[in-house]
Parts: sequence; C-alpha cells; structure tokens
Amino acid sequence: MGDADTRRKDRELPGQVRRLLRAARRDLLLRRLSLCLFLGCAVALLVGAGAGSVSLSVPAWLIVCACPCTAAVVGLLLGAFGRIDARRLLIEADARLGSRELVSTAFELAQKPGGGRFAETLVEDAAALLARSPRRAALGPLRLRFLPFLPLLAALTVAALLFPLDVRSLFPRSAQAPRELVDLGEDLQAYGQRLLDDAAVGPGRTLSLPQELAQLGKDFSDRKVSPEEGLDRIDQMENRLAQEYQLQSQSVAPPSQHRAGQEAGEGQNGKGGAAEKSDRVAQGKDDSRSADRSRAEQSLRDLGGAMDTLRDAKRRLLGQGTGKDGKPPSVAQGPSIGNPPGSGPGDAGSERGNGAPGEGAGPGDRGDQTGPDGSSGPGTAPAERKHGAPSTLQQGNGPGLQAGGTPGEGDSTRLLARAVPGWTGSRLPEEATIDSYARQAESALARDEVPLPLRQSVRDYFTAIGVSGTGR
Amino acid sequence: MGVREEAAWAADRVGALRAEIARAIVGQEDVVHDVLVCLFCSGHALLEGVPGLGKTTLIKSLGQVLALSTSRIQFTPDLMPADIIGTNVLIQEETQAGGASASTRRFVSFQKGPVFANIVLADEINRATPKTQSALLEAMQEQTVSVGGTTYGLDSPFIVLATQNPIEMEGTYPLPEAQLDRFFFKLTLGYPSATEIAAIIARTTAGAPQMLSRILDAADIARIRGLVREVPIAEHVTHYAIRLALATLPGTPSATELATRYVRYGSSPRGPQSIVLGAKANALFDGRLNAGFDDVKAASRQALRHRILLNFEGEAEGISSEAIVDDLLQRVPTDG
Repeated sequence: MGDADTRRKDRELPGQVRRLLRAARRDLLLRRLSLCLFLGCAVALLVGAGAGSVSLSVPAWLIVCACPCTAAVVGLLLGAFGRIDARRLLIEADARLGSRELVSTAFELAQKPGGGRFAETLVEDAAALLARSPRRAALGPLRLRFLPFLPLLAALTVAALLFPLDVRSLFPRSAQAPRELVDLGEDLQAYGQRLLDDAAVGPGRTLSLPQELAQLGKDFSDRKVSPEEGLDRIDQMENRLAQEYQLQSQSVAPPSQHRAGQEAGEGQNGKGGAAEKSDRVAQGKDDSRSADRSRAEQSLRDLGGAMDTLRDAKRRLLGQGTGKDGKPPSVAQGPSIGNPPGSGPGDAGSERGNGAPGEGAGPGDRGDQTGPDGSSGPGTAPAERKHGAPSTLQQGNGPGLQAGGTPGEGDSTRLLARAVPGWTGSRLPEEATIDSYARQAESALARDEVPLPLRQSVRDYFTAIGVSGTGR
Repeated sequence: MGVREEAAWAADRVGALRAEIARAIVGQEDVVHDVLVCLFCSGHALLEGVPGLGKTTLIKSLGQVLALSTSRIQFTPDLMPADIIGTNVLIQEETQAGGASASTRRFVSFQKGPVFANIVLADEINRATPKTQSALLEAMQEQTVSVGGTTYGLDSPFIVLATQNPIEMEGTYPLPEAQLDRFFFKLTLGYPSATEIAAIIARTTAGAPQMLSRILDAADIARIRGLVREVPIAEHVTHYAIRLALATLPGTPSATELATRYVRYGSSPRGPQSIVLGAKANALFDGRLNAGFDDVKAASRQALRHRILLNFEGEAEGISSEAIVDDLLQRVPTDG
C-alpha cells in the first residue's frame, strides 16, 4: 500500500468522523431547541394565564410572544455552542453499530502517531464501517420528547390570551391577618402580662383588665381577628377602660377635712396627753386611708397606661393598611387620661403626654410635685416625655384643680399619675423624691403589722442612702 | 503478508489447534481456549478441577500439536526444589592416555530438572511444601533457573500448567499469594456432561489412542505471540480493565460493595495486565484487529479470580471469588 493511499485513508476517517459530528450537532441543536421552546411556551402560558390577574406595564401578548422567541434563541445558542465529545460520540457509535470499539480505537490511533502496524488497517476498516453505516444508526434515534407538547402549550397560551382569567378569583383571599397585626398582638399581650405581673405583687390592683388586654393581644397574634374586627374590639375595650377610669378616679377621695381640723385644733390647744393619744389614733387612720389611696392611684395609672397602649395599637392598626389611600387615618382621641372625670378639688391636675407604652417617665416618677408649702397646688409639673414619637402634651380640660384649703394648712393631696407604663430613666432629681419616699416609708413602719426587725431594716436602708427617718 | 492476512492466519492456526486438541479432549472448549490464550500471551495457567477431567491429557495433547517438549512433575510433600529445577552432580571420569595408567577426572555437572521443558505440567502443585512451590517462581517469572551461582535459561516457549485438586485439602499447602499472582489465568474444569462422558468412553476404550498432528512449531508460536502484543486496544477499554481491577480493592472508593465486604486483598497490577493481554489474544483469535469491552470481559474472570483473596467473612459465607468478579462485571460501567 503506497503512502498516498495511506494518507488518503487517514483523511478518510477524520472526514467520516466530521460528518458524524455535524449530524450529532444537528441532533443536539434540535434537542436543545425543543427543550427551550417547551420551557418558553410554558412560561408564555403562565404569563397568558396570569395576565388577567395582574396589571402589566406592557401588553400581555407581547410578553407571551417574547417568551418562546427568547427561548428559541437560547436553545439555538445552547445547541450551537454545546460541547460534543467526539471520543464519547464514537464510543456510543461503536456500541450502536456493534463494532466492538473499532471506530473509537481507530479514531484514537489516527489521533496519535506511531499507532503500530495495525493502526493503518484499523483506520481503514473504521472509515469503511462509518461510510457504509447510516448516520442514524451510528447516532441513535433522535428523540425530541418535548416536541409533541409544543402545539398543546401554544394552543393553551392563545386560549389564555383570548379568554383572560382572573386567577385570584379562583382563590379567595384568606382573612389571615398581616404580620403587623401579629406584632401588635404580641405587644398588647406583653403589656397585659406586665400589668398582671405588677398586679400580682401589688395587692388591691385589678386583675381583670390586664387579663382582657392580654387576651386581646393573644387573639391578634393568633390571627383570630381581622384588622377591622380588631379595631372594633379595641374601641370597645377603650370605652370600657374609660368608664373604669372614671369610676376609679371617683374612688380616690378628696383630702380629709378631718385632718385639716385636727391641725387647726393643734394650733389652738397645744398637745395635751389625751390629745396626743387621739392624735395617734387619727394618725393610724390616716395611714390606712393613705394606703387605700395609693392603691387607687396605682389602678388609675394602670388604666391610663392601658388606654395609651390601646390608643397606640389603634394607630398602628390603622396605619398598617386599612387606609385605602395609603395614609394612616387620623386616630380618634379618647378621653384624656390626664383629666380624670370628676376628680375633685385637691386632686392634682396632672397632665399626661399621649405617648406610646413604655415611653415617658418610669414607674415611681411623679408626674406632679407637691407644693413647697404642703398645700395642694394647682396643676403640678407635667410629666416629661422621655422617649417615643413626638406628641403634644394635652392640656387637661377637666375642672379646676385649685384646693379649697388655706395655703400652708391642711393635708395635701397628690394624684400620682403615671406618665406611661414601663421603666425608663427618670429625670426627676433624687432630692425631689427621696424625702417623700422616706416619709411614706416611716409612716408605713408605724403600722402594727410590720415586724420590728423589718422596721429597723427599712430605717437602716434610708440611713444607708443618706436619709434619716424624717428627712435628710 | 499484510496485517489483515497475518491476523487471519493467526486466527486460523489457533482454530486448527483447538480443533486438533478437541480430537483428544472431549468438551472443555473454553479451558482449551484459555490455555491457548496463556500460551500465546507468554503466561502460565493454574487449572483447578477434580481428578479425571483430562488435565494431563490436555497438556500432553498440547505438547503433541505444538511439537514442543513436555514434562510432568507430580508434586508431593517430600518433593525438593532440586527435584524440579535440577542439581549439580559430581562426575568422576577415568581417562587412559597412551597406555599409561588411567587418570581420574572429577567435575561438577548440572543435571537439568523437569522444569527444562517447553510445557511443564505441575500436577497437584499444592501438595508440595511452599519451599518447593517457590522453586518454580523464578522459572515462571524470569524463564531462568539459578543453581550454584549459575543461571540457566529455559527454552522458549515456556509455559507452566499447574493443577490443583479443590476437594482434597488435607495435607496440602495452599499456594503463596506471590506465586498465585504469577499465574496468568486460573481455569476451572467443570464436570463433563453425559454426552461428553459417553464420547470420552468411546474414545478411550476402543482402539488405539488418538495421535495428534503437529499444527504449530516454536517459531509460529513466537510469531503469534508478537501479533497478540501488537493488537491495539483503545484507552477507554484499557481504563475499563483498570477500573475492574481497582474495584476489587477493599477500602478504596472504587471498590464494589461485595468487594468491600468480603475481600481481604484485591488484584495486583498483574491483574489488569493479564486482562488486557488476554483481551488482545481474544480479539486476535476472533480475527479482529482491536480489543474491545467484550474481550476484556471475557478475560476478566480468569485473570482476576485467583488474585482476589477473600476475608474470613467471605470464606465463612461461602462467597467465591468468581461471584465477586461477576458482580464487578455487572456493576463497573464501561463508560466510567
């Protein structure tokens, strides 16, 4: 066999392989094209079906047409540039032709020089085999599995465009509360729980109010109520709280005239032995009344805080989407907490900011201050807002708060209005409150039910912080 | 003569060999084929089978049709290495020079053992001690014998056909792994069918024994050996043989589940060597010019079965190495 013949036959196998590769490329192109077209038509169908449900900035038919076109381009690109491994293709061709690796071995021998004496004959045999075998037999059947679905998808897409369907109408919106409502519920629940905890350590405070508040919050967080229903329940609860507040504020009695008269008698007669005894009895009764008043005041503070909390909840609820125009509707203000209806003369007209729960002065902060001369001064210092959204301090519009007694005489009455629930830093100077605390502690120690060792402990405490039993 | 003609001639000669041997051996065509593969691949075969299956007859027939010298060594426990490879013997020779008194000449002469033959039948090789068994190692691997500091070459072709009896294990010495690995193939002789037994009886109980014709000589064998090694095998086919061998190695990622569980030691690199060479011989005997996956599969069983050592669990559960190889052939993909 001459060299020319050998070279011709060497060229022959690569030529056959190239033809096989071209056919394989066509197959790959068709497979990728059909797959991508299938995907594109599926997307187009989705768009066509959803066009009636959503508002699109471009016409739906444009998107529907663009999907298969884009998919076709992608498929063509994938098919054109997809990698075809010639070696693997020939191995598969060997398996299909039953040639016992003749073609792949010959191709390998043709690729590298020095394949041995057998190489030339093998290449020749392989080329002859490929030449006489049909391409399809070497490549295997072309299966375009997605092709049959394309007409169906196209028909469905056209139908979807012609007869638009509002998919949302098929699935009615569930009345599930949004996430904001759940958050709000958790806040309400937490506040109710805190009130419950406070009531547990403070005897005489109402338990039903915190329980209801916590329950309302739980209903919110459990998504048991819709925003509209939630608003209704908040309104109802607010009204109930307002009534309760009114009742509680009436129970806070005005200052005792008895005390004033006693003091006047002291000024005239001096302090005899019998008078001293009577004085101690009276002092005991005053202490008991003072404790009752303290509890009532605490209840009032709880109510006020709860109303603030509800008011804030309402604002959040309205702001989170019930307004159609996207603007939070105005919050209807309930009765001013700072103006307890019917608070009698001598009550300090404390004023409250309309802050959110947890804002303002912490527990123990006084929203008012006693007048320097012990008389019940008109309107005391307004509570300072510490944190929270800016709000205007509402001027109380209740009755006048002037005490009727003579300045410098008589007992003073204080309404300790809690600014807002929750502990925050106080800006009241320690000197303004420590004497008052010390006096209250001393009067509490005078009670018979306080054990003696504990009395000494309390005295030691105030001594330790620099306050004597009667003041600094 | 072109390559195609050479391959055709080789296939024809091998076919003629098989046909001639078939005149003496009834059945066992696969064993005869595999023995010829070993012969043309320069390998040695370990034949395992119960007595009376024609192992010795096969060796003798092979010697006749190939016109090669044959020897048979019956291995026994008291067989010594020198009994196989030969020994130096002191020779005393008396010479008389011109009527003078006779003079004595002594010299050492190497007396060749039975290993000095083209075809050596090591019958019941597992009955000899390992020391004697290992005397064959050098001869099998290097085709040389060293005695007393002198190395003697063995005639070519040289092929050892060892037999072992699988049922009488008492008083036997299992072959060391190193020696097992030197056998190209391990062949198992199955029991003949009733028809085959009838044919055996008819041949051996009537008339004179068959005289076989000579088909090939040593030069032809060497030529076919050269052709076998020239048969091309594609890279991916070779890799398939390698994957098969690697799949027998327990504790490796490529090991099959069965191999991992029951195999103590897998195939050495001689395993895939034997597979590839056997595949080439299979292809040539079939008249093809290249080896394919089928040729590899056909050679794998014989090439790997004695190179797989089972662990205790495998022995206890009666797993055979053939089952491991069959599992490999099913699980290892050709397009890995």
